Amino acid sequence: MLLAVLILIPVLAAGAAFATAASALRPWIMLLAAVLHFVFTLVVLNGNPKPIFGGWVGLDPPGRLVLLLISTLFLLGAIYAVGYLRYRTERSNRVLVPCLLIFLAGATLVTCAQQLGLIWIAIEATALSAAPMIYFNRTRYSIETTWKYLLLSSVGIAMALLGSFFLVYASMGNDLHPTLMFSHLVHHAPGDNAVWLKMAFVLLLVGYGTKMGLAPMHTWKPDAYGEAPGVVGALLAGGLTSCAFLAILRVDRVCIAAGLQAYTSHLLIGMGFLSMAVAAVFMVGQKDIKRMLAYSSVEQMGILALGVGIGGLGVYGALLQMINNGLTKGMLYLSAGNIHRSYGSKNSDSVRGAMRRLPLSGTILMLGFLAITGSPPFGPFVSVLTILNAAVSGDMFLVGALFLLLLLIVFIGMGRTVLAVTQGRPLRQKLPDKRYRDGWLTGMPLVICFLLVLMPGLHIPAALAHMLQQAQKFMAVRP
Amino acid sequence: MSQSGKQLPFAGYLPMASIGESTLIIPASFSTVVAGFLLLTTRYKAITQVIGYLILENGIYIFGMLLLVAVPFLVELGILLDLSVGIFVVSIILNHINEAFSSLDTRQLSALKE
Repeated sequence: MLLAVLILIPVLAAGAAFATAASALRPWIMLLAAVLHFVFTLVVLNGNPKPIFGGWVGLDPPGRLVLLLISTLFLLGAIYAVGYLRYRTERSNRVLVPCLLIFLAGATLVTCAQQLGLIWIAIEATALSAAPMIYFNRTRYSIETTWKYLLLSSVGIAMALLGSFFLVYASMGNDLHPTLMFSHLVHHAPGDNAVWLKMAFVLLLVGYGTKMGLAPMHTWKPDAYGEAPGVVGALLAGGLTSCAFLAILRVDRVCIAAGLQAYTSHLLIGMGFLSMAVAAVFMVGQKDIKRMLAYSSVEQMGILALGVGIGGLGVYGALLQMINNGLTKGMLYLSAGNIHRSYGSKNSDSVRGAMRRLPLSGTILMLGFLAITGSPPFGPFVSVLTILNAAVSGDMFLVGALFLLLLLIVFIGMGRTVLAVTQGRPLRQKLPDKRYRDGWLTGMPLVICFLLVLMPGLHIPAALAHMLQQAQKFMAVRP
Repeated sequence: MSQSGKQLPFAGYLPMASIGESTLIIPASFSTVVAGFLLLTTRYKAITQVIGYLILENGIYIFGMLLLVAVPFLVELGILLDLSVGIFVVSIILNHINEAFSSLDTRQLSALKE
């Protein structure tokens, strides 16, 4: 029943937060729920909880990794939110806080959904709970953004539903008792109708790819991440995308079991490169820090798709990259949020010298930039190198070369903006009266994120390495 | 599937599972999905786009009729719940668009771009 408790904690906390009349109390309720969720996550990951609800809700190896990532990221985000929401007392958080908690519940359900229909429901719930969070600032821009986000993600998720139906239909010819359970689908996959299965994979890739932000379905991302508060951006870029990636992994496993690995890996590599290329083009000359981070997220999703497409060791690299990306996005969005708050702007034309004005946030943004572009000694360096290693040892030299080239362009594009923002002196301009300073609550999560990002670059803990290996083994099903 | 008038151009590539289903379901589903997409992409008015999205979902649900044996009742309920909450949220945003821009024309929602 541990898994049920894990999902119920944030749901109950969301109810409590919504019922509370005191605005100042709600972030603390969220923090309490986040701490409880994190503790229970550690207990769950330490043991081996039995699947519940007839096997619908259970943890598989990739699900464990995503659960660990989301719980950690949410805890850090919740600490930050307590400090952040003190600066935003002019806006009621009665919708934001419950939505964040529902988001956590939905994401937790995604990580343990072992049923095709249930994972769809969970991802849709997670995505819907994000809409009011994006709308938090209530400007004309945030209306526009929320509208685009809702429409695109709804259509995307509709495609995923059609794909799910196709996947089941593909199994109906040879399976007398078809179900939507992933284990059952994988078991019966070899006799499935390959054409329907291919159609299903394409639709599911497009559908969940929209949530993940793979190009060309990424267009909601820069707008949404640009207008949402920093903590929401961190949770979307690190949490929602990982959930959608997990869904694609589980579907990919069914296709691999049906002997379609060559087909799916071509699609994944193609989408991966397209995402990286689109992100690289739009990052060069991008002046808005948060939009630039959103394109960086598109690029990261490209790397994940590429890693899974390469297969074998690439899956290991992609999963490690997923964790690194989530934590580095935490660093970047939270520090960018602090800088935005301090300058009242997120455009590199008016934001200069962040390292002087906000020593902690500015430094963390700078370090986060180095980490996310794959510089040593940070975690992403190891995972990017692993993916490159997988490509080259699989005789995909062209893939490896193109991968390196795109990483280089991204490094240059991102470096130009981040260096302009962090270095130099602040411009003599009218800065907001209510001056923001780095505090404990808005500073500490950044430092913890930084340490967590640094860790895999120096040494991958045995427990994490074991989980990654299990996940790689899990994905290597034989047709 | 070879009866004239019921066949889509690519029907030959997508063989039916022959589990005794009606041959009309797949063509009806696909044409509804395409009609929904058409409405969704060619209209400026926000509310018409939402209706296009609903038609698209209807088309997907028609396809779901082929899977009556496989999809549990609880999953169908969950999907419907998500869709209703989704439309509820969209309606709230529509209301806000109407208040902020005094119209539902989505051409006004184009301030954010590269």
